[in-house]
Amino acid sequence: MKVRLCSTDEVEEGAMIQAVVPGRPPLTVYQVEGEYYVTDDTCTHGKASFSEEGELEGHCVVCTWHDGKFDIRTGAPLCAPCSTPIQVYPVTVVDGAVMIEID
Amino acid sequence: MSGPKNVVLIGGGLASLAAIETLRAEGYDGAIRLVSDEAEIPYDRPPLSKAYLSGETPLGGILLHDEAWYESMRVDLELGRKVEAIDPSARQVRIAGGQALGYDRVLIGTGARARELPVSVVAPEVPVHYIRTRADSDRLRESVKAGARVVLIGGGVIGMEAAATLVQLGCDVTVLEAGERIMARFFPPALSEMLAEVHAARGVKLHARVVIESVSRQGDESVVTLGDGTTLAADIVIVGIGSVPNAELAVDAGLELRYGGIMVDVRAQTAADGVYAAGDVATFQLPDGRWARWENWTHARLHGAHSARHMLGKGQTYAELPWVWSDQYDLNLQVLGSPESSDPPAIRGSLEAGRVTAFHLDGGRLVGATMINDARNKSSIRKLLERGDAVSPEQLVDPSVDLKKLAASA
Repeated sequence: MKVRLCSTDEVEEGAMIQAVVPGRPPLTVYQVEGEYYVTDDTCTHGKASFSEEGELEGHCVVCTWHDGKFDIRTGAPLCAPCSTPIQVYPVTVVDGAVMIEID
Repeated sequence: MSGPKNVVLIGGGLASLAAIETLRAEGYDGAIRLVSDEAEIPYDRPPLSKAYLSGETPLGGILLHDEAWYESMRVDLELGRKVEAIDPSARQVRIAGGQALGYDRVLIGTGARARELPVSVVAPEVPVHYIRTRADSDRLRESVKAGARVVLIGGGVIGMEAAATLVQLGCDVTVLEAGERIMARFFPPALSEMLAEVHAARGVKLHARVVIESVSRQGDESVVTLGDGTTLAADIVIVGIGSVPNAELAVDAGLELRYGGIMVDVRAQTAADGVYAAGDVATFQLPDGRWARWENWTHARLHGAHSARHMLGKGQTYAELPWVWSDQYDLNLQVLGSPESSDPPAIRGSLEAGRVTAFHLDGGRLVGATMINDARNKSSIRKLLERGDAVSPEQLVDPSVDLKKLAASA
């Protein structure tokens, strides 16, 4: 099922916001170089929220709790102490809305 | 120039691990041998007093890399093997059992062990717990059950983390601290107080300015006797009173110690050519010439990487800021830079409001910050610290001042 997370203007270039789909863990929506990306919002390591506690450096989200780093395009952990990938979601932009496909 | 062909890393911690990552990332193609006296491949130690102790995260979840990674990095793992000696003149490392390994670069990354209570205080039959290795944490977890009376000696990072974990598992936890207050090495008094209130609200009993007279065994329980004659009965006694560098290999090789650590130069090299030391075990020279020994996760990693770059002749200056973190309950605690200062700390925010930072100032200059659930300001604070010019405490504590903008304005 396709779900609308937010409008494209809500996420500034180089920034991220939290999006909530009822009944699911929170998500983060990012805009980098004009592209939108969506990942789970909760760090797989220390349980911090990326949108609240994270910093975006290019295509990497850094969790400031322990400076773990993930690639928001692939979800891959990029340095210790993080070793578990974060979930990423393919994004489509439809009529100015950021949409993802979920089960 | 012919580079090294044969690197030996002693110790299965972060310093050695970072050295492997860096050596391979820098294109080093020679042999790497990792010799560790622990049976496991390198694992992350911070969870040993938290999610690993509680059972929430199993061993697989705290491994720094899986076994396949060591194969892909072409590392020969010598686990469960103790290095007995380093012979710098023969460029050999001797392993228990007699095997000798030649090296052209060797890293001593043996870390530190828990400081023990003196035998004059603790009777040998008392099963005292320390938390330093996976085996320590396993032993402790096996004896933990809801309702167990736990006495923790030492209100530092390990002690307070273990207190948080164990009180959440239903234990009856008492913390005994010799000093004035908890987390005193990293926290200004106001933040120690805030954290102490959080622990107290969770049911942890805290006693500061306590002298431990003796720890003895009576039947199935341990008895902790304090200087004022008070006695505390305990099912479990845990001691977290600091650590001692595992520097014996260096001493036996004739190398000098300072602050208990192995003296290394700005390149992380000891006085012996080709012998390096990094992380908790090393006392190193800062760019400004002062000597320091840091015990924290980030330093072990960065200094290990730094030593590896210098092994290859590609090193740079080690100009890091000390950065320490702890997690207790839902609180993330961090210290960046110096935890101490001559001026009174400037405090921004409050724990009631969810976030608080204490800025440490020395003659009007920012020297460090202690943060509770406020790490998102860390990169701004880092910029301010690196800039090192005067800042106004009024601006730092003003919630309407955006620290990012303050750091960007110069």
